Amino acid sequence: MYYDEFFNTDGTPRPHCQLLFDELQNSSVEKLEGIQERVTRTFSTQSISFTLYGEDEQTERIIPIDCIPRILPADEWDRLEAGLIQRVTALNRFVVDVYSKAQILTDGVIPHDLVLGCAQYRIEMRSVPIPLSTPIGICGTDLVRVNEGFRVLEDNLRVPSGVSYMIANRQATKTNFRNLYRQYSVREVENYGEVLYETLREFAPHNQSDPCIALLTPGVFNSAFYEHMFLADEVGAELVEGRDLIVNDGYVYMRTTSGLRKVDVIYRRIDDDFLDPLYYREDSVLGVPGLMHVYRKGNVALVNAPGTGVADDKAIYAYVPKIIQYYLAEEPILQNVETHLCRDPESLQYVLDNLEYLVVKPVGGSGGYGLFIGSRANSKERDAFRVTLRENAAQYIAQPELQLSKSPCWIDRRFQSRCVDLRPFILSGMNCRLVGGAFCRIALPEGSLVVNSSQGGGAKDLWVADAAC
Amino acid sequence: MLARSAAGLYWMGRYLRRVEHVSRLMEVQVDALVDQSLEQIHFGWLRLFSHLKVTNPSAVLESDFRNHEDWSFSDSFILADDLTFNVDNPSSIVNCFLQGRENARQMRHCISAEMWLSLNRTHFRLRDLTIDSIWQRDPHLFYAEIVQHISTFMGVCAATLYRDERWEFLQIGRYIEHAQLMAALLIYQAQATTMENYEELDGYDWKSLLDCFQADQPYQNRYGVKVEPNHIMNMLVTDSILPNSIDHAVDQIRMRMGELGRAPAQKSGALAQRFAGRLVSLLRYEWPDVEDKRRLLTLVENLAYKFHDHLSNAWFNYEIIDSSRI
Repeated sequence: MYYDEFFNTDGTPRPHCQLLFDELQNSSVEKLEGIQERVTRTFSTQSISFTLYGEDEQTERIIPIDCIPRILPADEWDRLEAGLIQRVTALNRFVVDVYSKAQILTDGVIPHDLVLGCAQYRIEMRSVPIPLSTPIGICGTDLVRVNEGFRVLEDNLRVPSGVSYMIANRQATKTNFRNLYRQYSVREVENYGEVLYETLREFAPHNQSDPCIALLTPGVFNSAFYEHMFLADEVGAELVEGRDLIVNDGYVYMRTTSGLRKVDVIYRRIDDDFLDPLYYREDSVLGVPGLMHVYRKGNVALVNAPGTGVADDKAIYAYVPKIIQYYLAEEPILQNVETHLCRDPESLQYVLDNLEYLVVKPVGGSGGYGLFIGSRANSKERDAFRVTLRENAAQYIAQPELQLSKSPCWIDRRFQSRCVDLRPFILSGMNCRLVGGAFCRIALPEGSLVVNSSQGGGAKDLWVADAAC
Repeated sequence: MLARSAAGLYWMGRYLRRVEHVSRLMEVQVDALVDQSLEQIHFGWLRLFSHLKVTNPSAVLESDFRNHEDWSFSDSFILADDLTFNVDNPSSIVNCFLQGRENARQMRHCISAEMWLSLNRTHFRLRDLTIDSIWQRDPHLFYAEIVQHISTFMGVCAATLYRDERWEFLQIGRYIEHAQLMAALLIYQAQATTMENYEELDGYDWKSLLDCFQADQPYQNRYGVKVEPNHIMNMLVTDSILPNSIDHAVDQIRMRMGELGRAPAQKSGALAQRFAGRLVSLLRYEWPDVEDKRRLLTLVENLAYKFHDHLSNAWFNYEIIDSSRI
């Protein structure tokens, strides 16, 4: 049985949804169709897009947006916010630790080989001073709600995307529910650009007050290019590709119409592997030769720092509650989803025996790729996957198939419930900060559990309501 | 600003100007299908394909406009499709528009939201059309609409784009493309007058150019209704207050260049400035006395190519020899 975000079990609207319920009840089908059409058109005319890989011709896919906002009472949000800040603070200390003294490994809290053998562990980052001792400047944590409460599904610590869609959702939705928006006293998300700018500025080397900030994108064919462009605009940064940057004299410069200009902070939206062909993949044409050399000298800040992926590996994820206890001596405010590490023989046996009830994920995966949902496979497919699991046990984790909470959406001229999740963005510089909202994703096909934009998921606006009841 | 962004704006200006140019000529060409002779229509297509330097899609066009025995009205359909919707044709309207929009998409943070929305409206309009759909209705209106879309876009640019380097590079791209295309068009036109039996075209080819580039009214005010090729040529080349003349374009380039700061590659920058000045002086001081107009137009076209190369080398793709000294 799933948790209904809108209705109590007796069918009455939840207290914080009453105002929205009244508004929707008093709206005709035509009116709601009009609103849906307008928000869709807003996305379409502005080409707010995401690229779906594997499609031959279509490079720009407009994000499907649902016009009905999801309401979250402020007190629930405040608890989430506290939990997220706690989590990211601990993860930052973990990343700094594993690339310096590795005390957490020495103390046996996490097995050595789990960290050092992790594909995202970057040995080149050993003993490299990290600006502000904060490798994770921007984190997007996926939260789902089950009947027992919110659960952290995963932390995205490398190049999390979706924040631009959160802002676009807000801009498209709020004007269609003006009175309601005011009545709910919804918290602001459109100040994200300012908060991001402040965060990036704090990373500037040599305490510069007005640093030159650039956003490094893989280019126009990247799935999140719209977001890169959007954020560069919001922050007032130059949107650069690797070919726009050169390294000389121990500094990074960008090629401008006035000559070369020194870059102080790079908000990089490309993976570690492509950052610097001299350090990582030598066939990378997306990165900048020598960039890591400048970073190690402390003459440019990279946000996020290389190597943060070690903390969002799905096997490490299982240890995050212990990481919080170890570094902060606090109990985790937000709970993980029960996770079985297939590298552990007992857990592997459990996973093999209960495959039809589990979702199996590759430890280094993201974006919803490579998931094996036991209940959706037939017995032949499950048997074949058992062979894969036995051969590469350490590469997988398994979690129970969660009943994601559902929220009403306006689809085909009627309300239909769809699974939803939540991706808040946590910014860490000198302090941890969140704006008052998150990117809310929806699994559009009926019965689907996959909300990822890269897998065709949609979006809706999330209202954190100070006046919810 | 980032050199690649400047290049993107420059190319956006060029591509969209080409869309406008081809659409204007197509508008007149499909209009000619209604009441002009086969010779005239044939010549119009030849002029279009030749000056754009693209090969025509089939053997329907002979190089000599007089060889049109196998030519029929239905061939216009193929040719119009090629110049309008063929994405493999580097000068087709759709291809140039998509290239222009792609540049805008990559530079979206450098242009105003209104510019992007304006461009996107045209994109959605073009996306759903085919040659069949515009042919079944009124193709003339379609091309007029595209011209209007591009003019509206330029109006939106003028109203919303900050007047810094973004504006200058966009305008330079737009005007150098115009100067180059107009020079190529008039070279072909001047060459045609030497062809045998050219008189059979009855002056419509010249008159159509006046229609195309909004010069018919000023021409009539100055010269009356009689079609005089020399007067038309002079007007389209040297009339500094005619927005579509070459003189107006090169003068705008010279002015815009004056607004740019010193180029990172100073030698190329100085050469680009020099060629911009040379283009103006050619038209203002040498044109009236030169007998062979075709030769001078060829010089204009070549200078436009060189100008482009030096501009690119100076501001977009400059070489970095020793950055520690920059």
